[in-house]
Amino acid sequence: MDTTRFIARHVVNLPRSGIRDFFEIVAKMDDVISLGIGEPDFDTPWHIREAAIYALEKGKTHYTSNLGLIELRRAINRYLEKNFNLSYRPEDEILVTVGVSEALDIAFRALVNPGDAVMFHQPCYVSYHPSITLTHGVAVPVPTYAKDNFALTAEALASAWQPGCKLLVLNLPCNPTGGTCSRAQLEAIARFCVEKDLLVLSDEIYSELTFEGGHVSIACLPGMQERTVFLHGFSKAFAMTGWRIGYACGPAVLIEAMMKVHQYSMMCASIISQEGAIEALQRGADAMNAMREQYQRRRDFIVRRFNEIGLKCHLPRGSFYAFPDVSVTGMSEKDFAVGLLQAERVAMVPGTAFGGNGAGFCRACFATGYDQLIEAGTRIERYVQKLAAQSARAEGPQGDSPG
Amino acid sequence: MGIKNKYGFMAGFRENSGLMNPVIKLLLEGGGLSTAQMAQVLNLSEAEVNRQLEQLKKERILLGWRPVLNLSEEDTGVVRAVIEVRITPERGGGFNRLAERISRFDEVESCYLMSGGYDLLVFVSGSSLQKVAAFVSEKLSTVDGVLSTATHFMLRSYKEHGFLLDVKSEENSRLKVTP
Ligand SMILES: Cc1ncc(COP(=O)(O)O)c(C=O)c1O
Repeated sequence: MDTTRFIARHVVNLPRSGIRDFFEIVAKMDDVISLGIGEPDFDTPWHIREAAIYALEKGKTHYTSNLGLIELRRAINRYLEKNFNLSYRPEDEILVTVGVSEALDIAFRALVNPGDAVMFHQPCYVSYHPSITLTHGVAVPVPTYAKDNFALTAEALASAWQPGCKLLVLNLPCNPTGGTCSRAQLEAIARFCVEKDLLVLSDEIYSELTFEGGHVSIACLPGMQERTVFLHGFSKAFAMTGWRIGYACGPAVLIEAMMKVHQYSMMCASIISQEGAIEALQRGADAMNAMREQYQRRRDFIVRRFNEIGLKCHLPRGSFYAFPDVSVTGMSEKDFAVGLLQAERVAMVPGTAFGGNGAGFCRACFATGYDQLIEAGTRIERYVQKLAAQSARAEGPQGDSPG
Repeated sequence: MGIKNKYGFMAGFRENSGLMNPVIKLLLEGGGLSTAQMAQVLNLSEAEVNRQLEQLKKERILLGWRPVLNLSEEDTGVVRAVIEVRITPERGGGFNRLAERISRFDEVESCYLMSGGYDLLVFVSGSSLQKVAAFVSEKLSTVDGVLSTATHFMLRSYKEHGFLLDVKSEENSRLKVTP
């Protein structure tokens, strides 16, 4: 029996994630140095894990309020006041979610009518486009470019804009490019949003991992808090990917709308993870800063290596991703990534997994140990040199051919 | 086999780490990098890394290198003890002269001046219980100025210099490619 016909049309047409394709090749190989991982190599700091164990021992095994534990929402507000210059009412402007992933999903479901257009900069995190499709929205990608270090510009926004655009998804610092915007660039984007009456969904999951200059949230700019849903989580900065915990903050009416979807689909985030999250916000700064310092040193190293090898790579101001340009090899990013994996067993994710504008680039996550990064650099260099030698030979006899 | 909390060994050092030499920071992260690897990471020549290490030694910031061993597993038969020592302070030098004198014994691994109910906390090791006991009764407690000692033998070690013992690394549970 053909059971495909039972699948909803828009799901049948949904493409598989390019990352999953690549994962399946990598999973079958041994001894791979993987720069293809989108998560910290650190385990969650022990004090956070210990707080969760303690919570279990104390019998914290029940549902929580749909919005999340009030202690956690208060801790989130204090954290944002201290570090982001943002303030939200714990009672009705903060919703605790199952990761930023769920926050994104319920935001789209609560805000997008069929046919509403949603803008997002590309290359971008793999789930934006499909999530928009799943809510029958129209995805409007806005390109970012290597020449701007992958910052989103108001000009690019203006040329991609079309009537019917309602939302703008921002992800700064950006997965996979590490791109960020200066305050001036953000202000121009904010003006554009006000002019076109766009609501901003700001996914700031990498904000603590900003290395130079502080992170500025678009929600802080004049007039923007009321038109921004701020999304954040614990996965990256606190090394808590497996805990599945995050939050959304915004105007009470919007949080209430998202809360309705959340209430009927998720009920609440795991109480154990919520308890761990409180500990992370209250006492996690030292461990987080120590991790960030290591990411920065690793970034400096791997970006320098890419440039030495001849793969042009901008210095990402945030996130733990480098995004080198592999087009000098004359290969597509996909062929390069597969070739590198087969020849040298180093995994990088082809840039097109993050949308069409990733063509010519690969994503390399540097959240891995120095020894691995050093070895990866050596192997990539060997591979690129081999490719160069091959193409030199292919270009025909150049004087010193034998015979 | 031990694993380490990978984001750095001495928690207190993190706070003013902005002031610290990058070579020291790498060493404290405990990745066990060779000088050649450190040179690569820091974009310095290996000679420069060695020069900085020499400089740190000269300034007596870096005192030396010690392997961190899992002694219970190696079964080397080393016996270790912690001794609380009360001593008489001296005019002028306080506790220093006696502390230094005690520290010079080969059996003494570390020696600290403490606040509280005793003065010195002395970590000693020896090849047998008898040898450690003999050190305490014949050498340590007979030093002029030592008032009393309380010796505690160590039964088992769970963590050494930031490394957990008997905890296997679980690194392979990470997926190889994720979004
Ligand atoms: C930009 C971006 N947003 C959201 C997520 C998902 O985060 P969470 O673990 O909080 O669901 C990721 C994870 O890779 C990400 O890179």
